[in-house]
Amino acid sequence: MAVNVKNVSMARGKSWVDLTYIIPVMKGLAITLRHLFKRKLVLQYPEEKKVLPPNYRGLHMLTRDEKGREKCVACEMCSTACPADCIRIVAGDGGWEDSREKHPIVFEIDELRCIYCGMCVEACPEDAIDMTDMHNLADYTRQDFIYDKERLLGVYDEYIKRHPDRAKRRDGQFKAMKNSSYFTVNDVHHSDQHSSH
Amino acid sequence: MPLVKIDSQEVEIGKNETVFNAAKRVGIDIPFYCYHPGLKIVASCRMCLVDMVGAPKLVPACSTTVPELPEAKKIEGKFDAVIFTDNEKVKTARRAVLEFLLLNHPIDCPICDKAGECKLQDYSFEHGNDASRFTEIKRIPEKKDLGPSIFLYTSRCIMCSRCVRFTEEISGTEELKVTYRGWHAEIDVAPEKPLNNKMMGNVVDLCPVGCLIDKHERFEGRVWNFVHTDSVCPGCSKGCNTTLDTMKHQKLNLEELVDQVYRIRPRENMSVNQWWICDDGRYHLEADKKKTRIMVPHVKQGSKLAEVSWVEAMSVTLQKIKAVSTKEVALIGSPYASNEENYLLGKLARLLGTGLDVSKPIYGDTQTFKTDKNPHPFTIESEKAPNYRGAKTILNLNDSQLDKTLADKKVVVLLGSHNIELKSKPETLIVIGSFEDTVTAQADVLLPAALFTETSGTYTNKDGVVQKFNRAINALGESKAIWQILVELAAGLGQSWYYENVGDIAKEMTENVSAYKTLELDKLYPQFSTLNEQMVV
Repeated sequence: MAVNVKNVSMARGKSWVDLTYIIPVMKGLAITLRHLFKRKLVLQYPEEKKVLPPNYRGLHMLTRDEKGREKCVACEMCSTACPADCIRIVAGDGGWEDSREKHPIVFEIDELRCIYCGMCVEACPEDAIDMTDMHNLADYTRQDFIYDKERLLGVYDEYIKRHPDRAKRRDGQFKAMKNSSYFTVNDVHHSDQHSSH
Repeated sequence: MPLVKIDSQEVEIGKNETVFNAAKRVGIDIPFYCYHPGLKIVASCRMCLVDMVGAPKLVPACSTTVPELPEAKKIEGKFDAVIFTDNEKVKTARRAVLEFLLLNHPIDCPICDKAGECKLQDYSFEHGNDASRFTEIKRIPEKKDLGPSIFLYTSRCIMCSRCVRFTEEISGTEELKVTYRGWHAEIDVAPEKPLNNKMMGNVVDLCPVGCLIDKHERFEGRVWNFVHTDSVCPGCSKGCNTTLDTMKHQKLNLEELVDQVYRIRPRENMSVNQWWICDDGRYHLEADKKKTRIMVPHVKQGSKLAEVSWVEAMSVTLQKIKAVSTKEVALIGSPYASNEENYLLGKLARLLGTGLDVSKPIYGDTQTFKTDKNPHPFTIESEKAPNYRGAKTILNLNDSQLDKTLADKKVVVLLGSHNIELKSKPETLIVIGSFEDTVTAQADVLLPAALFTETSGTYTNKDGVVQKFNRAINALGESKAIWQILVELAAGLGQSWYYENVGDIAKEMTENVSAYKTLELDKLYPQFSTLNEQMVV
């Protein structure tokens, strides 16, 4: 194979001015000077913090319903969808009479194992798990990164405090979907049924 | 025999054979809900509709038979019927049926335990519409508590009536009925007459959707996480075929959930249990949980049993056996242990010249579910041990004569712990058992044995059918399979045996026990080496 050989030798100018490199240095300094007056791209983190887009995939949260309970029904769709196997759920019985029979007793996410792909959020049929813009997690032990149910609900409370507008929008979107005919259900009590016979 | 063309395949169909069965025979799957081979055909779900040339409209495959036509009338010169199971007309019909079934279905799959093995899910995905056109208000009737172990989520029901037919035809108890009509039809029990019989668990398996839910298994785990292991029920001498469902793999910090059998389901075996098992077998692991499991070896120190290591327990055992002459030792087999384990015990007794016997199983209630419509009534046997016949055959004994055998014995090695009645406690009692009971309390050495879920082997049922059960979970605590304990014991007594797995023992057993000579071992142990039970000596 033929190789292109390029001879690199010292630059030889025509005059002594070129040999001093004053002009190239000045050019370089001019660029630096120009950037001094341009818009700064670097943030002075942690004093300054970047505003992240709403769809940023950071720390998870478990959302609450109107009564303050976790929306999660422990269907394990998220843990099934999870490619990193970092979600662990143990379902509990909320009681035969309760309309929310199934709910999670244990809901744990290993935030170190998580790859923040957002598949859990995609899979959730109840809009119960979502991701926040929190990314600066720091702790002392690996065990501390296993977020349990209470902690994930706490993340939601904190997130809603910071972004009350986002909470409203999220809820509105989901309610609009739930109110479509496909999801509309209405309890018909037995007394009504009997009268129709 | 009538010749039928189903799609593109030519099938000879029996005189009373349905189109559904003929299609199944040649590998054509027709979707169905209400059909079950063990129950009367009602053709009410209309899911199996097929297009029969010449018929005015679609016919249900599960109830349609084909008569032989006279030569002149044969279709295409040779067929008695031409059937299409997958043309546009049939597909439209299936779509329509599924749309009707889903009208009032709550689609609460996320909290439904059937999700993942639900026929409504599968067929809706395969044959149904992608969206609902139903704009009216769904009718969601209340859920009901049917009895001690069954919930009825009425709204999920698709009215296939399998459960109703089961109670009428198989259990003969007739608790379930269809109440109201048409749009309002519901499954229900009569007031003050709950669903309560020894076979009620089967209606949950029969339900193609998540309408009937077992209280024992509710919210225990999603079905797609389960691993299925073929097993045999040790509840009685019938030897029903079962499937054990365990969790797929160890997820994050899941320590407390592994090594547990989540549910036991019947496995079809026409010569033993057909499609059913009784609730005693279905829930017997739950009954086991109430007993205290022996986790580690124990040795009597003073008047109390103290926990010791395996090495120490084995050395004490060997010391006790070696201290007396072999004539004063007795090895007692168990109707609860597998054929292989009993064989090893018999082999050891024969080689050492010790006394040999088998303990008596527990006898309990027997119940037969007789109905006019069921040609194979299901019987729960009174002999509550899986392998009494096998143990007797292998040990070459007519019957258990414990009192006579133990009369002059000083050291007794006992397999299994099932409240065996001992007239008087022998000088030294060594028990290889799984649960604490009256016998283990008297033991001088207690060696923890694995349960049938934790080891493999074969049982011989009351009719002499030899069936294999497989290991589903790891042995709890420090317990070991009985055959492993026996091999270690034999090694200590100067017998160097080497078995790679249970299959090796089975192979030797078939060579040495005349009754088992005809056993087709390849069928029971298709892969000798994959039996994942390496012997540790």
